Amino acid sequence: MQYIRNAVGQTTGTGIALPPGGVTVSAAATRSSSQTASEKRTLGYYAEELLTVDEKLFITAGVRRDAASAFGRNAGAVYYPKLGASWMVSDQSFFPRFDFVNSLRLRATYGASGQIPGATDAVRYYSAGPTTLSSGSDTPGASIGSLGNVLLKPEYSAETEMGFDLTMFSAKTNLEVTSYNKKTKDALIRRLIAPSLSGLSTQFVNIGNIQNTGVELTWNQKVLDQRNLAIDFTVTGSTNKNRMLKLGDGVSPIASGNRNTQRNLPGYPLFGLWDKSFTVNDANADGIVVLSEITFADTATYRGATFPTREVAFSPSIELLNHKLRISSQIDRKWNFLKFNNTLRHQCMNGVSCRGRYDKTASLEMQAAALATSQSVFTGMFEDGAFMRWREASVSYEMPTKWANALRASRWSMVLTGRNLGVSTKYSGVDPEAAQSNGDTRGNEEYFSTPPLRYFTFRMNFSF
Amino acid sequence: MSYFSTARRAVRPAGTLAAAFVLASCSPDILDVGTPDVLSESVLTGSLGATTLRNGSYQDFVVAFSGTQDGFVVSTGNMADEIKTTDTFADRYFTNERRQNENFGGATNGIYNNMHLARTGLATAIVGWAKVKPASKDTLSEMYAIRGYVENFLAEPYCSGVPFSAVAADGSFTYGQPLTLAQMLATAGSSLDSAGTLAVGASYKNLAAVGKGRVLLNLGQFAQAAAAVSSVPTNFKYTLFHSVATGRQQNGIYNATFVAGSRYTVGTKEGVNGLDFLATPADPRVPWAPSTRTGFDGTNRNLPLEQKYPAQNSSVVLADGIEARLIEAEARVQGGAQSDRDAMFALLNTLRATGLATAIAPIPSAPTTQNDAVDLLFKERAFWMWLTGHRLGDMRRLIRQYGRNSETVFPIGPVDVRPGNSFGTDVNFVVPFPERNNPNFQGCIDRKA
Repeated sequence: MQYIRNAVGQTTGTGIALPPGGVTVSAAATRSSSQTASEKRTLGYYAEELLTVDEKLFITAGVRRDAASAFGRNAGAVYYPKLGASWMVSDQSFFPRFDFVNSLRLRATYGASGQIPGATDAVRYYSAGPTTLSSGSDTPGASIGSLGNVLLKPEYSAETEMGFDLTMFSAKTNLEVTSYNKKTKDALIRRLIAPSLSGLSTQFVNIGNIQNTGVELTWNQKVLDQRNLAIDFTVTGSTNKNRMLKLGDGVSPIASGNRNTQRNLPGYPLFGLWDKSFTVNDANADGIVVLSEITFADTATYRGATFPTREVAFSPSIELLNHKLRISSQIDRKWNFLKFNNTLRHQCMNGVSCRGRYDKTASLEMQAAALATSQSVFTGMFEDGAFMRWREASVSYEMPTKWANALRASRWSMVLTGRNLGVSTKYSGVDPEAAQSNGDTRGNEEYFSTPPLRYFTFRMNFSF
Repeated sequence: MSYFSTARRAVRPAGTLAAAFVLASCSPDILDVGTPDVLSESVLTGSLGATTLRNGSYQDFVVAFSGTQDGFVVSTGNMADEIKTTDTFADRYFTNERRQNENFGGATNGIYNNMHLARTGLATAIVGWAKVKPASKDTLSEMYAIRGYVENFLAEPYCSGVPFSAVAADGSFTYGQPLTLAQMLATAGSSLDSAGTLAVGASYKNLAAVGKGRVLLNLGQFAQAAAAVSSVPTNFKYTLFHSVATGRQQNGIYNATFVAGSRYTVGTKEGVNGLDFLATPADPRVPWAPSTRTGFDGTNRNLPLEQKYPAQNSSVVLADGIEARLIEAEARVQGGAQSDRDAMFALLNTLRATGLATAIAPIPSAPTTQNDAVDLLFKERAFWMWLTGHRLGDMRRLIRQYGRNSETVFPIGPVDVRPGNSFGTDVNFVVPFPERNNPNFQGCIDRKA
């Protein structure tokens, strides 16, 4: 049984214009204060049973029941079951014997989990604020602050994983392959609502059902393992297919993202980019595109996902000098997604710092993409976000023991690490990983954002 | 082989679990929490609750009308010829340039959302007030009147097709159908009729009467409009008050046009057709002064300084007796005869003599054509009601009711505050994109005046 009470209270006081020597809020000429408080309680029960069959088959079964103060008043408790099995099939007598295979384990799990809404997400409430009445004096007032949602339920995710772990060649080769299928029911989201309802623009809802499927791979290989030279590498990779399966009852297709460039509707990835396509025809062949030479589609269509659906990382390392010197690196590649270059959109809409608007030698496509922004068509700002990044390189050296002892340590090592050392991409913005991070639903867009910073660290580790 | 050779319990015996489930089901209060940060509906009952809701909705209206820096007065003036933007954000400069787009968000969305916040909040407050304070008819009347003004303010600047939706007490949504301009105005007129019926005190009657007159004028029912305002004295004023206490209470027109680096500035002769508001010496109805102020964009300098709202707590007139007289003058000129024009001319000069503490020089000669009369009338309206949110509605009326071409009414040609750009063809605001979450709404019905 688990009971969680999460209460947060905050009181602040602000003083502006302090007299000489004044250090307290009370001494200030202008004083103000604010107070916030929120509380969330969760009551959960959890039971789990583990069965081992002949030390070869392991079965885990469990269930969790959660009820929370943050659920809508009409929403009941929720149950999260789980079931897992792991079978060391290579230990079975019927398994064919291969010299190069050390072990093979088959795995399958099913598990459910949830996400509880925020403390007041389900509550319809009013916000207090001062009113200046005709007398010129301030008096308390209140107006609607949130519509709440009496039907708000926790987000419920159930994931099925199946795969195997294969160890070969005297444990020099380790391969893990996992296929996953995660279905999220009643996904929680702060959705836009029609302002004519209440003047409020958002409401927390259980938006509908979402599915994520894909495959994950980890391959660890020891190429050489000798006293003065050891080489190994790790390859990790994954695929992801994200789809909204259906919208919740009464939920209309949801627009989000900056300039409403993202839409969420069944059959398409969440937060995918949508906009009108266009074609350009330089009718007078003067090399300068004007609006009349651009033909826009009538409606917006799906352009692509905003997050990579393919990822792979390669991490080689080499050890020299009796394993005292280690050099390692990591290279990432992510692809199959679009990135909204919102910085360029801003420049092009203003028309003063965007090449497509001022340079007549720019390609017709670039001019059209830039000019289309004046019609609030941003398709030309959706760029291929694929990239390959030299994520990290690291050199470490284990100092001689006697040197460490001289410093009264048992071990002493030095590590020099560099991060974000280079990137190869066709994306024209600052960096394909420069993302707006203001917590809203803008997704993976760049908007005057800083790229991942290149930095170097030097560290010395002492063990005593 | 030994199947099931090992088995262990991970947590608790089943009996304990069953007991725990029972405990949970019998103790719902363990999950009951307070919400001290916010006010639940249950505390806003009784007389004090009704007053609090009334105050909140009243303030929501003030914010929507003359608060923030993108309220009704500023944003409508921006599309009209009173105000132009010195901003770098598209939602503001495309409004100024008559090239609005539903996707802009920001300033464009704010006024729409805030008006609906006030409209729906007043609907709730009216129900609460009528239940616990039915005898306080003047306040009830005032709430109906303000709601009527809000409904009118959704009609005057926006395209045809604004829905008036609602949320029921149980949280269910009733999506409104897109309303034509006439339907919105009819709704506003109905609210103002209720206000007029309920009002006991003269000022409340006058507030409702001027609002009704304005709505009837928008509907082109000139004689009825004049009749509605006939009993309103010229010295009547209904004022909205601002305070320096919080940003929400401050005068947004001041914040938008007065301070250094502001997003807007008052203008004159904007885009060929704009009126010559900023005369030298200044017309007392359009007080302004030259300054070295720079706009937000950093490129527009020496911007004029309006003097009508010189402080964050400057109050704003929502309706007054001067507007009543101007409505009467407009009704009179509808006759089309020289005698009607002369009568209108006399009414305007009477207003110049009596509308301010110090009389303004009379208009020297009466117009001799109907076109000249209409020009004169609308210029007088523009000057008397400068920066009060009337001008965009009037410019639309010139097209809709007087057959003018939009390109002879609205700013046209190059945009002086943003060189290289030209005015578009909009004559009203577009409904913001988020309204498309209303399944009944598929965009503006039309963009006509």
